[in-house]
Order: sequence, then structure tokens, then C-alpha cells
Amino acid sequence: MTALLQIGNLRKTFMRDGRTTAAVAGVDLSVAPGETVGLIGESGSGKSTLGRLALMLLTPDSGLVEFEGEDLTRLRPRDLRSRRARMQIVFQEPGEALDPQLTIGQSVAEPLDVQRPRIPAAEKAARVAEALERVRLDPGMTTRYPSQLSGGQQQRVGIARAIITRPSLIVLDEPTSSLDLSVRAGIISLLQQLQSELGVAYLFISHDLTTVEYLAERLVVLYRGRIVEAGPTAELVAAPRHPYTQALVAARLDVDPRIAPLPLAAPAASSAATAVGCPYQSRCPNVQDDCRVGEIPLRPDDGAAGARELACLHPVPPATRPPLDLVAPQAGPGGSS
Amino acid sequence: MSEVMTTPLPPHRRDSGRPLLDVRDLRVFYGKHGLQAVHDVSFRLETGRRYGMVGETGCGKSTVLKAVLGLVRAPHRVQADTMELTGAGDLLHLRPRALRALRGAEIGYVAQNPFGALHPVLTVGEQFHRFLAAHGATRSRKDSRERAVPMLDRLGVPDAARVHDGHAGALSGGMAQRVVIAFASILEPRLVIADEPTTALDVTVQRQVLDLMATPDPRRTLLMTTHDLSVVAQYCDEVFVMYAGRVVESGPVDSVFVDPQHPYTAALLGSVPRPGQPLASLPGSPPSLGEHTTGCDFAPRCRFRTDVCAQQPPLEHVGGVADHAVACHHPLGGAA
Amino acid sequence: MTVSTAPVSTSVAAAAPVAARRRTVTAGTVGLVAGLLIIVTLLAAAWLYPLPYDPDATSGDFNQAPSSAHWFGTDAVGGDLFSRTIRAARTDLPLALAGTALALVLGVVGGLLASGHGPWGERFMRVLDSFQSLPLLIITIALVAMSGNRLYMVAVAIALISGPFFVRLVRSQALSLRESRFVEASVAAGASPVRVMARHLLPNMRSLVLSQTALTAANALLVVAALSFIGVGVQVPTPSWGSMVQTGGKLLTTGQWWLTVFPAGAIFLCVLAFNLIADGLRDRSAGRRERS
Repeated sequence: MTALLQIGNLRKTFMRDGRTTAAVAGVDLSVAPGETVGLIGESGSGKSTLGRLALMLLTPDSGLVEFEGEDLTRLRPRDLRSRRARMQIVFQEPGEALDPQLTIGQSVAEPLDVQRPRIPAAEKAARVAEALERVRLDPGMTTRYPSQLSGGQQQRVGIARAIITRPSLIVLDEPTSSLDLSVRAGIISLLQQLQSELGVAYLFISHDLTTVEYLAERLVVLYRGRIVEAGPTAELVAAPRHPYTQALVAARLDVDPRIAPLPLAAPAASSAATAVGCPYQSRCPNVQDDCRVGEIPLRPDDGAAGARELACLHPVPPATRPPLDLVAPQAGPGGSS
Repeated sequence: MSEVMTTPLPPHRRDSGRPLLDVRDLRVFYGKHGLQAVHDVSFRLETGRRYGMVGETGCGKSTVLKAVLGLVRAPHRVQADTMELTGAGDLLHLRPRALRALRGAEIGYVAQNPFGALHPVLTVGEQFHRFLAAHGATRSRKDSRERAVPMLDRLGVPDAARVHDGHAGALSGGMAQRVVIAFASILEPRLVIADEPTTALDVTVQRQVLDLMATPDPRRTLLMTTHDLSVVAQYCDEVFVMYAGRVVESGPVDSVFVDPQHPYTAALLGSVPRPGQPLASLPGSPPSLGEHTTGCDFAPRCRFRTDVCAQQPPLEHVGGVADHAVACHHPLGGAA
Repeated sequence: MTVSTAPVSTSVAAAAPVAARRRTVTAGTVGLVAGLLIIVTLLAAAWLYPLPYDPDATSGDFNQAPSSAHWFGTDAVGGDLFSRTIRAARTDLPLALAGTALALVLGVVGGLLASGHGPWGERFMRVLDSFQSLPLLIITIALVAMSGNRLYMVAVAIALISGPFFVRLVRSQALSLRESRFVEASVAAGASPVRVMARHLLPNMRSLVLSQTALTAANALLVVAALSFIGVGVQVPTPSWGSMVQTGGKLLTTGQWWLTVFPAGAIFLCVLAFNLIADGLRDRSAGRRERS
């Protein structure tokens, strides 16, 4: 199976307060056609930066971004723009993602206008109506303005805009984080439904393991610009190997008061950035001297079943993992739900 | 009862005499036009227990907290039959100066955004000192420091002395929230009010902050709002579910979250993603301010709506569980 | 229990933003209309309607106080002050507006260019800083005088003085809009930089830029008046409010107040009108941001 998106050794540094900080420090990642990859990390982990690099909305300092078999970093701006019909993004803040001066119809139609400037008006209107119907919005909404919509409706408009050029990949940058619980569930269901209808692949970025766990078949855990663990969602959650993944899993709280949370063994992060060695060393309960020297590469994880990768010298041994009575047997909800 | 409790309950569970805070028929009106944001909300908080208030954005949960704190200002108006804090009197009729003395000393407050509560340029220690001095609770800067640093240390702030002497603006979100919790705890207030205290924090930090803030303490009562039901499930003893400015269901978390009686509560619980289970989404959105009908506000979104729902359902006890109350003509029943 | 089969009202979802959509007539809107009315009336009076006297003619009735024959009185050579005050709008207002328009075009283009990526925007702004620290009014007086008092140089002078403000405004707006999610969405859709500017940046700063334009027009009118007051730019006998105030000012001590008061009043009225327009426009843009 060839990957739809293949990211190789990607790096991006930013200048902040006169210092350069690596937001993304050598990341390898791939997304297969039609699959959902969950990218999880805390704030400042570089997950949003990585999502933007994957779409070349930011230019990487070095590394490879291969999309549909083509290295995007080598394309001229004009050629890159034409590829954008196949890759889209949905943002966290649905209100800010829509131009307040444009009607809903104009916003949804923008990718079409850009990619096919000579599209007949009737076809354009039909495509806009179809996109709005797909996100379960009233196509009569085209003449309204973003300020007249609720947050959930605005996010549906953002999704309609993302699917109108029939992309093969959509980066979802925390699309449900700013929404109310009941609205959030509707958006998650919609995303699942769209994936089964359109076969689009998702790179789902979130800080919330509960949501990612529900949607993604594969999980990638990012910590301070580096992938610390990756693998099939169910296996990763059932038996986390990296102490950070373990902390993420343990930090989950169940909505059923009868199910007690797992003990959390992660000391508070010190703000001091660690330049050498494991990025997690300052918080890690398993830290040893060799964690503080040299870079720890992401390697196939021999200690666990399945296609898992791990960047840790002293992982959680499979035997001592705490029992998890909540994990579903199957890997993610699949496309047919 | 064979439930697995995450934390042991305080020994004096209930019926411990007078409540700490007794609010009856709280009403809040917004703006010149007096749009009603909170409708006849009543609750009694007992010492040593932890209360969660949940609901969608705009359901009035933060407004209730602001009203209790006396932070609702003109042109908005607060009315209540009573808002009695034991030992301090009716909060509604206290003079501003008395109320200010109460806040911090008797009522601690933790806001969603810790940076809004901290001065970015003053050192943390200076703010501690001014806070303590304002309540006449310190003799000197040295005295303040000797109390603040151990407090920060107890709250899991690494290198507490350095944080104490540094500026608040340099702290991470989790650290800043710990500092705010230290403010809200240092005078050992009887009541801590927290408005979405962990929403802005990363998940692992959220767990740590909750462990610090919401551990049961027989001398402290916690009233917290959140949109995260699992936080309430794990860190509160009692829950109030609010919808359109009213409490539609209340009671012990073990009962309300296990056997929800109101269709709204059930819908909220069903919209939490859990692997392998279908997601129940709730169509429509809550009514906006001033859009209230005479009947149940949830009726337009409710599957069980009948003609009776044109009348406001009263908040009544249900089932066999004491204190589990629901405002619904068609409670879901079930195991309760 | 009977379960109602009535369909769930779809108006529930649509109802929430109703209150936000309601538009009220604000003081700002009233001011905006009043300001526009003043300017339009003045321009119409200067061009469309016959004046009671030829503004350039002289007569024996000099230095007359206001009367029913001469509403604003007459000047030292017997010219009708009312006709001259109205006719001056033909020179002063177009000059001020032309200068403003030039400043607007230069400012929007410069501001947009300076908001682009790379170090050049920052460098351009530093140059602009140094430029603005020059005594611009004095330099422009010299420029206009050296050009032989050509009127177009007055417009250029205004553009030099006011253009930098537009550059700053447009650049700061463009920079913050470029950070917005909807511009990012547009780029992600494949929009070219030019399209992003035309479709998203300019429309979203329109109200603020228009408001700044009205303020600049008020300032520009004062510049025109100041220049003609010291005898640069518009030359006597062409009526101009600044030069009229200057001539009249000498006679203020001898009791001929009308020579100063009426042209000064015209300047005041126009500046007020432009300011009302600016406030009204700013209110509208603030209102839009609140609603969205």
C-alpha cells in the first residue's frame, strides 16, 4: 500500500525572543488513503505546526513532504496551489475560519473559484448545495453570514468548504475542541460519515485522547516536536509503552463515576527545555542516565505486538501495565458506522 | 452500595446540620432589557462536599457562580429569596466592603484563565503579600513568603521558591493555575468556587490540578463548573445539570450519571465518545436569552415531548435515591 | 404516555443569532448621514446653484456688515462674502479630497506591500519612521512654493503628510488579517497572494480605511487652509477659506468680524462633517466585528 502522505525527517524552527526553538524536530509520518491518523500532543508539542507543514502552509526547514507521490517541497508556488484541491484543512475556531464579509455560499465556493476559475455558475451552485447537504446543512443557507450561525453550523460550513474540491486528505486541527459537548458529538459523527462516503483520509490533530481514540485507527504521539510513540490506536491505548503515552492514557477520566481513573505517575513539567537526549526526561518517572545523552530514534517496537514504533530507552514493560477494562476490542469505529 | 469510589467520602456525608451555603430562587437578569439568564435556581451546599455544575455554553452555570461571588454588576441584576452563607449572612445584602473581605478569606475563587487573575509584571510573591495584606493576614513580606512557598510546594509547584520570586507572566498555564489555586486556598476558605478550572490545561496537567484542588477535605466545600462531564464524574460528589438557566436535574453523581432521569442529561452523557459505542448527538441548540416559553425549555429538542411539556415541570425527587431530583414530566426511569 | 409526533422545530437552531442580527440606528449612523449631508450640500451649492453675486466681482459696497443684501457682508474690495465663501468650496474641497485620495492609494498599496513576508516590510517601515520625523509641513510649503504654487502640488503635499498614516493602518490591519484562520483557509484552498488581498484583506479593512480617509480629509482641508493662509498654493483672487481668514484677520481688530468668522466657520463645518463621517464609519466596523 503506498502512502497518500509521506513525511520524512521534517524539521521546522521558529525564532522566538531571539532564540530558535524547534517546533518540529525530525518527524516521520505517513497517512494511507482513506485512513484516520490521530496526532496527539499537548499544547506546544508542535502538532499544529506539523499539520500545517503537512499541507505546506508552512515551509519546512528541511525534510520531505510527499503527497500523492510528489515531493511538495520542490514544487513552484503556482504548482503547489493547484495541488491544494486534493488536500484541505478544518480549523479549531469555526467562527474565525470564515470571512465575516463573505456569505456562506461564497466561503464554501472559494476553493472551487480558486481551482476552477471558469466553472459555470450553475455547476458551482450545484456543487455548493451538494457540499452543504453532505454536512447536513440547509442549502438555502448560502446567502447568510457566518455571524448568523451557531458554532456547530459554522464548523459544518468549514467542513463543506474542505470537501467541495473532493480532496483525498483533510487535516483536522482540533475541529471539535471549541465546541459544546452535544455539538461535538454531531461533528464527530459527521466526519465519520463523510469518510465512508468520500473515502477521504484524515490527519486528526487533538490534545484530547478520548476524541482521537474514537476516530483514529492509528495514533501518533508527539512530545516537544518529536514522535515518541506510534501505532494502532487500540493497542497503543491498551498497552502504552512510552511513559508519556502512559501518562496520557492514565490522565483520561471516564464519564462513568464507577470506573476509577488510573493512577497518574508524571511529575509536573519543569519549564526548562532539554536540548540533549529524550524530550520527556524532565517528567519521566523511568528516567536514567542514558536518557540524557544523544538523540533517541523512533524504532519499530519489538516489545509490543503489531506495527508499533517507539522512541524510548526504558519503556513501560508490557507486564506491569495497569489493567484497562474500558478498551474496545476493535480498532476504531471503521467507516461503515 | 458497591460502587468503586475513586476517593473516600468525608465521614459526615450528609445531614450535617445547617448547610454552608443556602441559595433559594436565584434569578439573574441581563442588560437593560432584563433578559433572564438564571431562573429560580436553588441549592444547598454542605460542608466538605464537592459540587459540579454542568451544561452547554450559555446555560447560566458561570452566571450562578458570579452571582454567588457578588461579581454580577449593573446593569445586570441579581435577585434571590436567600443566599445565605452560614456565619456571614445573606450574601445578597452584604455591603461591598464586607463582600470583598469575604472573597479570598471565606470564599476562594479559581477562574478558567489563570493569567486573567495574575498580574503579569508583579512577582508571584508580591501578589501573595498584597493578597494576604488586604485581608490583614500577614505581618511582613517575610511572613507572607514563609506561608506562600510551602503552599506552592504542597500544590506540586517544582522549585516553589523560584516561582514565588519570579513573575507570573513567565509561568506555564498549569503552573499559573496552581498559583491561582494557592491564592484560593492559602486563607483556608470554607468554600472554593471554580469556573472551568482545568479547561485551558493539558490533559495530564488537568489531572494533576484536579487531584490538588478537588481532593475531599472535610473543612472545604467545592463548587465547580465544567463542560467536561468526566471531571464531574470523577471529582464531584453531587452534580447540578443546567439547561437554559434552570437546574433540570440534580443529585449524587453516582446516581445522576449512572441513572440519568432527564433526557437532556442522558443526551449529554451519550455524546461523550467512548470507543466501540455509537455516539448520540443532540440536534438543535439551546434557546437564546429571552426566548423562554412557559413550558419545558428542552421540549423542542426532546424525543419524549408531549402536550404536558407546554407546562414548566417542577424539580421533584425521583426514584429511590435520596436527593436525586429531576425537572421533567417524562423522566427516563430505569434502575433508579 | 403519548409521544408527540410533531416535527422538531427547526427554528430552534436558527433562533439563537436573531438578536445579533437586529440592527439599531446608532448615534454614529446619524452623524454619518449628517456629515455626508453637509459635504454634499456644500459641493452642490458651489457647483450647481447660481450664487447671488459673481464671487470674483468687485463693487463699491466694500466692508459692509452682513445684511439682507449681503448675507455674510462684503470684503475690502466690495466682493460678496457669501458668494466667495461658497465658491471657495470649489477649490478647497476638491484639493483636500484629491490629496486624500492620493494618500489613500499610496497608503493602501504601500501598506499591503509592506505587510508581505520577508525583511523588506520591516525595512520600509523604518524608512517611513525617519520620513515622518522630518518637519513635513515646512518641507511641503517649500515644495509647493518652489513649484510656482501649482495646485496639484498641494495635493501631493497632503499625500506626503497623510500617506504614512494610511501605510501604518493598512499594514497593521493586513498583518493581523493574514494571521486569521479564514485567510489561512483561503491559502489552503490555493488562493494566490493577489486573490487573498482582493478577496479577504481589503474588504475586511474597508470600514477602518474609509474612516481613516474621512479623518484625513478633515486634516487635508486644514492643510489647504494653512497653505493658503500663508499665501502658498491657492492664490488670490481665487477664493479660498485660508486666504480669506488671513485677509480678514488683519481687520478683526477694527470690528469687521464677518470677514474671519464666515470662512473660518466653513472650515469648522467641513472638518466637523468629515469627523462625523469618520466616527460613523468606525462605529459600523466595530458593530460588524461584534456581530461576527
